[in-house]
Amino acid sequence: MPLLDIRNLVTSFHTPGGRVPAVDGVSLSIDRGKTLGLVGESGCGKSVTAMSILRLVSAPGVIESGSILLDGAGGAVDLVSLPEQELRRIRGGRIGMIFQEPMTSLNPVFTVGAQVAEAVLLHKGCSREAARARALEMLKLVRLADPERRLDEYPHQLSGGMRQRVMIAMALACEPDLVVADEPTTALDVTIQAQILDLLADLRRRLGTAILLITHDLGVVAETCDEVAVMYAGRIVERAATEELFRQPLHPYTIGLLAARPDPDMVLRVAGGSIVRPPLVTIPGMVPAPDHFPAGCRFHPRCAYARDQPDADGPACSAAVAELLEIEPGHFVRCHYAGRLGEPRPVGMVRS
Amino acid sequence: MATYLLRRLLLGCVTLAAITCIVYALARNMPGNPLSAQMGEDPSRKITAEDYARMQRAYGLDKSWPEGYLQWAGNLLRGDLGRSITRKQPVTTLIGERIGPTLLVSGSAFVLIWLAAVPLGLYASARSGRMDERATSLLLYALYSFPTFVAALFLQVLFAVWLRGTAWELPLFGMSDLPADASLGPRILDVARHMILPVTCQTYVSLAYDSRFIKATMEEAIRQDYVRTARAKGAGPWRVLFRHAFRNTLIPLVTLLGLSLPALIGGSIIIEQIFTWPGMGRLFFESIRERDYPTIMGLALMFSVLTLLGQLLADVLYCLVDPRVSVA
Repeated sequence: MPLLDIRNLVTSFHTPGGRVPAVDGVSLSIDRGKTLGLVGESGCGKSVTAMSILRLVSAPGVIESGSILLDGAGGAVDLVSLPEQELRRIRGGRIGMIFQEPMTSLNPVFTVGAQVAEAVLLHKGCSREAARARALEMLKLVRLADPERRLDEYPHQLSGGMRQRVMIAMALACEPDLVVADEPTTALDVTIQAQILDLLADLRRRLGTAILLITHDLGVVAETCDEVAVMYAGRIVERAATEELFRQPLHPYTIGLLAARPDPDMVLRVAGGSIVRPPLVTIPGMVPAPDHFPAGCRFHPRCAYARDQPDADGPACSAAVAELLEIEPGHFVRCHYAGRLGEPRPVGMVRS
Repeated sequence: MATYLLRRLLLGCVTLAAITCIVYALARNMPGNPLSAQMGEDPSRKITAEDYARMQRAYGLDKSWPEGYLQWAGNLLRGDLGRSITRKQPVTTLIGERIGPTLLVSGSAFVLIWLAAVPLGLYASARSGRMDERATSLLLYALYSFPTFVAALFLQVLFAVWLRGTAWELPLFGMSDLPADASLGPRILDVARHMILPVTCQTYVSLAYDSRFIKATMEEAIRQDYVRTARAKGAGPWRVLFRHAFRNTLIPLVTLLGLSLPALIGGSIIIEQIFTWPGMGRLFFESIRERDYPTIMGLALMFSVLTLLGQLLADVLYCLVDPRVSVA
């Protein structure tokens, strides 16, 4: 079985305005040593999915249903129902986490070394000296310049890129099976982004750690991921091997995302054989807020291929919810008309 | 560090000169003077115009206020705070007599406040939004908005009048009912009984304020990304709360601590007045009423020094609790 298997995860926020399902039935799996990219626009639920894995969703968010199975020596455990005590051994032990904001994710009043060593101390029953030695080793591993000196420095003395290296060192200090990286490069300069991604890819090769990479950047996905899941409005809309997804996107949202990339030479082969210049440069409209998800297919108000009326091929997109179906081996799509989209509506005709 | 302290001390002296000058000007320009205040209270004392003028000269009251201030400041530089006009004693002696009783009340209140406010604040932040926390917070809010002088009078009526003759009876005012030659044990007990009501009054308002403050800073700290990081690496709830969150709330708490230093030694004018407690607050009140300029100035100088010291202390403590702050 896969290392991590998320099945029908539902995470909602209970606000005074009612129940808001930010993650609404997400299923994902990651094999040992592989990298899965979880892609989507802001607010699609990808970070909440990541936080749900270690049950770090803060109130008023709660995991309502589904399971998150982590495979291990003694069989799989369900992280959703695992007692808090045991979950703590998995946090930082078997699953490490890297966050988006390196500037604020480190505690300002402790030295970098102490914070990395703390992760070791919490999980390996070792002495402070051994933990400190391990911290130094990790800072070397993440190629932080002058690690001996950095060990006793405070976060504010480090740049953003250096802090993110420290976060990676902390996440990997206990040799976890999986690292969940929630937009690890979004807050960094472009040149630093590339360095951090290279580092992650390199560490994955050397340590055999699986990575769940949450990002909105398809360029990052293309360079680092074995498999991609595209998320929209709380649901996975498409999942495939990276190469396959980029070669042949089947969901109109994925097509739109790929078309929205600033790549002058890109052409897309829409299923059915025709090679087209992408019709849309931007996807019209906005990501719906979780408390205002449209009925039926949640993407239909923004979709250039949506059918208003049911026809011989399938239902009206505004009426029926599409299931995530395996259209081709290993290629899952949540669209009534996947593989037979037809011609897109002109941009002006798209309802927003 | 040394140059920093030196700079702060120099700045402090300038500030002190400005404060004392303003206070002296205000005091001297209040209607009346120590002689009129005294004689107003005692109509039987009739003095001739010559005597009055002679007394004015003796106390330096014939000089303008800038002259008087310069003289006071000059004496201060020689280490002389002057003598009280109305009490015929050196100001330093008066302060020395009064500082003990004030420290007794405000020190006890200070210890009680912090012993109770920190756990209360932590409890409130840990249970934020639940029924029990809301009830506690409501009660603390009610206490915070309840004026001390009303509470003091109420407590006096309750414990000294209604409960008179029962085991719960407490003294109405004063510091001790026993003669000065009573043995030590009973005297301590007697003073302690007299302290209960003033300490209660001084404690409850600050307790409400401080625990709300701790709750607010704690909730702020808990929302920070580094707290999530700590949880993500497997730290337990207590470790997250104390090591990661509370450690960061020390920074604002140090400010609060520094600001409470002057009140600790200055005492509370209202409480000491209501309970006739022989402390600094009451001395200040009386010296203003009597237009006793040397005492007013001595106390104002002391409060100013304490306020500045409190701030300096807080700034120095910052460096200890927050590595981002450096005085260099």
